[in-house]
Amino acid sequence: MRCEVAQRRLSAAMDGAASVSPQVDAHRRSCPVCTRFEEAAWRIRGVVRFDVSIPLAPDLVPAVMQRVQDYEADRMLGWIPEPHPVRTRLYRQRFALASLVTGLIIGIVLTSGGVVQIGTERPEANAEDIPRELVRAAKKLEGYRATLDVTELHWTRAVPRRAFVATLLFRTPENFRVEVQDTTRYPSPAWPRNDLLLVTDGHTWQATGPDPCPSAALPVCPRHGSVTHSIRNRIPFDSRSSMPTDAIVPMTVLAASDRVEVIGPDRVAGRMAVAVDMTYQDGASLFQYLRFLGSWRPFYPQDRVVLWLDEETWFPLKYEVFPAPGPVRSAWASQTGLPRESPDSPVFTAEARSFSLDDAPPAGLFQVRPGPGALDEGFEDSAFPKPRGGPYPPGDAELMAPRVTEGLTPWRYGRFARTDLRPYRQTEMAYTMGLSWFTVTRVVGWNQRGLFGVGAFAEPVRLAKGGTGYYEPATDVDPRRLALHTTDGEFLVATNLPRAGLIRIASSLAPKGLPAPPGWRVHRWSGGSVVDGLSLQQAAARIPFPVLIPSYLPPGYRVGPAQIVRTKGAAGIMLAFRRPAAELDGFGLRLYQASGQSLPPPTGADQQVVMVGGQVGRWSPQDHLLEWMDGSIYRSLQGPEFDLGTLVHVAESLRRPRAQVGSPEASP
Amino acid sequence: MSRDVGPGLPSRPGAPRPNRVAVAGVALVIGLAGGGLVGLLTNGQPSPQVQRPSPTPSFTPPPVRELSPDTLLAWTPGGLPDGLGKGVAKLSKVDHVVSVISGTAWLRGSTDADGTRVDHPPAGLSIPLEVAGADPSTYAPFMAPADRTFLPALVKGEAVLGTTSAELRHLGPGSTLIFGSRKIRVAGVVPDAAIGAHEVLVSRRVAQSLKVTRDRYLLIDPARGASRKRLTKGIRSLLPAGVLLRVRGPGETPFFRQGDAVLPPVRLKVLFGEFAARPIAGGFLDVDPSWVRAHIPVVRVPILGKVRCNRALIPQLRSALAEVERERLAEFIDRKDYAGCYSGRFLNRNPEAGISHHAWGVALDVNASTNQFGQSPHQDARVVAIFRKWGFTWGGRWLLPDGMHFEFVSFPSGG
Repeated sequence: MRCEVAQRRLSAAMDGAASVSPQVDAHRRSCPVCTRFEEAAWRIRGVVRFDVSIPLAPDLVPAVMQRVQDYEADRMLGWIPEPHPVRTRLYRQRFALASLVTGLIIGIVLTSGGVVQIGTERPEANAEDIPRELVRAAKKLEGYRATLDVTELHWTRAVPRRAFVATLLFRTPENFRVEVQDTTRYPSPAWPRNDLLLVTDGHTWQATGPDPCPSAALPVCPRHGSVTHSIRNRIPFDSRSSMPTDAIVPMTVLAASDRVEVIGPDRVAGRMAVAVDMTYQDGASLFQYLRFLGSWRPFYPQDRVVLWLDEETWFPLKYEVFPAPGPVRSAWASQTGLPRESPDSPVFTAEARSFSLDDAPPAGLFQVRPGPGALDEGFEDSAFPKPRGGPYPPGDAELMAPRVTEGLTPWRYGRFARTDLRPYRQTEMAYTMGLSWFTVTRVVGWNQRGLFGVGAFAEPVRLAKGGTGYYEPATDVDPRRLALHTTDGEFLVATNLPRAGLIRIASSLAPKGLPAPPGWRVHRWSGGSVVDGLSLQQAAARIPFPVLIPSYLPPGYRVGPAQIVRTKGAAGIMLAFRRPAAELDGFGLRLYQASGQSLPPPTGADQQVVMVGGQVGRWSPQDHLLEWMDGSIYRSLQGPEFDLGTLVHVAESLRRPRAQVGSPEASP
Repeated sequence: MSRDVGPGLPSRPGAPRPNRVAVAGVALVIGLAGGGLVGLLTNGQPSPQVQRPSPTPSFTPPPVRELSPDTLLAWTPGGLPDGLGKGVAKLSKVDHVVSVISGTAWLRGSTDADGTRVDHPPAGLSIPLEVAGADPSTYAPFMAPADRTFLPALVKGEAVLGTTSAELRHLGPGSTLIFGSRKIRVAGVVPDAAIGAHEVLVSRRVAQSLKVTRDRYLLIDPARGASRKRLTKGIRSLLPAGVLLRVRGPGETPFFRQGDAVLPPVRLKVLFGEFAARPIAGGFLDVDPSWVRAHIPVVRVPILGKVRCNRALIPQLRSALAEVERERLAEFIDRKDYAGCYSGRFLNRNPEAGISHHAWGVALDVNASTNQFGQSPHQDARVVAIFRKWGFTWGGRWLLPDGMHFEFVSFPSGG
């Protein structure tokens, strides 16, 4: 029996159209290809949890033809009824009516649409102004309270629409409380309710709610009821026990972005608003106040988030998520158990029912009493040090306090006890104003061969007085940060302020940032070596083949530092592309090119053959990894937030740089 | 005679006809005036207008086709015989081979990159982690070249985490895993498939220091033109008599690892929760009682009566058994011969063999006396089919049959 026949019959049997004959069954058992086909088919059917019924499109032609023929026949027979007198009159006056309507439209357009300007002119929202306005709004904020109505679609087939009321309270500088009340009507009490509470006063932190529940298992969860996670002696503005204030002022992405796209003025709840558009990948921090616990529907990275900012105060009034168009998104939706979703209809809406900036909520609302199971972060608060005095580690006041604070004022200072897990002295200073903050950390006795607080792809930045710093954009867990290697220890400045502000603060620290020791950048082993922190030119000069760079990159991406990898007989170069303000997945896009290397043997379950330009490549969908051989050169592109189409487009745009290609930005 | 024939609206013959142009002109002027007035009244309050969100540039993906397998996984139940990896490396038409050791290491705690505590199991207990160990230089050809940047760190004694493990633990590069008195720095995070869906990959030397010593599977990179059939035969020839062998290619199993008929522990942790425990005598585990209270209720199900299983498994277990009952097959499940669901223990109560999935309460043993481990299974095929439909795999089809064993592999809705 031929495989295609067997597979067709197996498929029919899965659909219930026929039963599997003994011959087909015998063939399937003996044929690995058909066994795999059947397993894959069941898997695909398994992941498509929604019964996608495709409505039959009726053929309208016969019906229309029938009506036309009927009319002609009736007319010839004189059976057409006498038309209504009003209709007859309207029909006769059709030219006059058309002229009247045309005149009305032209008149309205001319006088109200901006062609003929009459009266006072209203200022238009300027994309470049929005980040500045947001930072200003964040700094001015003393207190905030808001109630949002949240609607989420397509969580599961049984519960296609959920509704929540979220109450957010903030009191400067580190008091935050969010309460999410699930008002959904579930099919039965067995369904877990997403009632959530997060409270922090800065020093303690507590989150309560149901654990995330695998959607395929719903309505049951591995764990019944709520869990509570508590933290005491919390580090100032600790990102691991987050204070998800982007719903108040979206500082992570928007306040630092030069890519804000204004899509129009609008009116929300009677207030004038500016609508801003971004991908979900960029706007994910707007949802963190909901997603710290509980179960939520997934979004595709390229789904669109439209955010309406109040034109007067710049606080978010509303935001919606629209599904991205295209077949790849549809395939993702079907794999994740979502139904077909239209790009024109929002699948998530959060709208401010009310918000107030007048009175800071009382401090008592932010008090937490962590139980005995609370995690102790070990931060010991002290009085803020002053130069020349006080029981502080020598030099902290002089070395850690920046001369430029961007208008922020001292808030907390403290240290960690030296332990076997932290065998160095670590002190921290925090500054704040409204919702804006930055911290300066100093580590003395650092015991590792790498910069404190940043990774291998930190971008070298030139600071004032010829100093050097190493910058990392914000991720979904870490703020924007800049590391300095100095003779007075390792320093890390972290903030939710824009990149330029961070660099100004770091530049004003007394110690001068030095280049990281060469020994920290070179990692050797018996089978080869890895060298970090090179510029593209430096790395390309050490590689025995022409290095290609993409002539197309997704908007906002730019090349960062390069890494060289040498193993037996192979030499490779890794280039990381990220966006300067925030790369929430922390990864961005990575291009690896190597000589002396063939396509490695596949080990994944779902790898596929794909053409990249004229070359045969391999696509590993689970890892978002595209690999191909370009002659004798191995190349790969990986980006967790990118689909195959985008990666292939970037891959096919690879070119030899003409001369000096854009190296990592070397100045603020 | 000309006539305007509008559908259904024929003109009456002989009706007087006004000057259309003049009427239309007057109407236009009236419209302009009226429209202008409306516009003026509303001027200063422009009607809100939000453009549709602009989609990001989207590129049509090229067509893809299935990859023909050219990497092989080989494993034998209970661990590989000594020297198998070296023997396979000497077979003709083999380019690369790596032997991977795998087992359970006990995590006493962890910290993130700046030393802040992350994992803190209850006093006296530790978290079982499935750790793989391999020689970095022989493992290198099987890693994506871009992930080979972690090789120096592995040689130095550091670890890499799988993606799921890193998400589960909230750990990343620079964090520290604490096993007993040993602290291991995390160098990076790689896709689950790159490390056989283990939670942690370390060098062989480090794995052995964590008491993970048993070789579990081989990854084989055949040379161009090699025949899978011949290679399999060659591997079989290296095995002692009676040792069973499983050989797989890409796409035939979700992950290249030993015991590939069931979910790896990291997936069970995501779906059913992670517990802390400590090994006790007899191959059993003393599992954190608060975890057991929260996750393992006692419930009544059809046919079997009272069972102790994971809370998340109960609906589909109930559904499977109800269907067995409905199909009048209940007589094929002997209630008195039910050997349990939840049991905090190692596989076969052997501390070297990994944590039994019974410890998550996601497997159950039925008709135990007639379906002993390693013996020919004797379950009714219709019962097996119903359990399969409800997301259970049956041990009777395993390389080393375990006919009493039915275990969760997927939710019936496909998760």
